[in-house]
Amino acid sequence: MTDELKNSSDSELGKLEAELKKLKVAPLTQNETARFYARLDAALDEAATRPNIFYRGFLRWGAVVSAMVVLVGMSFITGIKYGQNGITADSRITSFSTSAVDQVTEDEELDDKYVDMLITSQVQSYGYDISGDLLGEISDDELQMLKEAIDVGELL
Amino acid sequence: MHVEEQELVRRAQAGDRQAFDKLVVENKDKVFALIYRMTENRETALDLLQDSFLAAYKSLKKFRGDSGFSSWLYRIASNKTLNYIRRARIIPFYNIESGVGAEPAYEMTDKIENEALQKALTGALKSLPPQQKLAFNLRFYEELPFAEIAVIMDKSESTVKTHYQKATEKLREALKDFRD
Repeated sequence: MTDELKNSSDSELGKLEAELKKLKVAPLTQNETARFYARLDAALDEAATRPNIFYRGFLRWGAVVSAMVVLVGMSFITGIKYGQNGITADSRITSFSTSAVDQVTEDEELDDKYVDMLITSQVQSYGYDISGDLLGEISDDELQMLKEAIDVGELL
Repeated sequence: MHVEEQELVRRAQAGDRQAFDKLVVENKDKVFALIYRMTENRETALDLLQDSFLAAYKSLKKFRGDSGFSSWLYRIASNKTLNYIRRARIIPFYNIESGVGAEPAYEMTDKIENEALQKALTGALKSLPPQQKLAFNLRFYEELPFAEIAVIMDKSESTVKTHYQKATEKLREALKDFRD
């Protein structure tokens, strides 16, 4: 028993204990007990029949994980294919320009040769026809009209 | 832990639902009383009681029998209840003068000589901080030794004694106005 209160000669404490002991929690009623058992039984049944956490995790995330594995697998296989059969035009350009720049050390200045190589690769990557005329698509009549309408000086 | 309880626990751990049901029947009232004294709401106490037994069932295999089964249950119920109080941020409120409470907290089994005194004590109990209230309830009402309460609350014995001491002081303070 609570010696601190019970064995005290202090009447005040004795009174306190006596009053506190009167505060009894009302026991569960029949209705409360029935509800408690019903709900607990249902929860225990569910817990007992519920698959383990790994299986539940697989059910929930299995599809997502499978899809990711397939995607990673496909990209891996594709990567091998490119690696075996050569590289695409775009990556060829990139590798060219990269290798061109790589050949220049920090102490060297970019000479005209490297600059030309870089410009060529960039122009190719953007799809311009470097040998083409800016006004190559214009007919002779249209060119004549332009010459008359605009003072282009030495350009044309 | 007595032999019969040990046997029930062993069978329940092996998956015997009837054995677990018997453990529920034997322990539900005292666990409910503890939770109710902490929450002062019967529906909440019922919910937490169910949660506690469900958690006990799920982690039954982890129970090694170092303490009694009821102490282990008290520990689960105490944690659930303290977590609930923390989450719900229950602020104890009781107007001692008017005796206004959310609902009657306790059933008075004896005739009340001094209703005002009972109200003051009920109010003081309600206003105790959760840890102090838990220590007080386990010691005073459940009559557990401090060593066992320390295990249930996962605190040192001296901390538990301090909680109990402070709770007692606050209850004595509530009695101050009723001195003869």
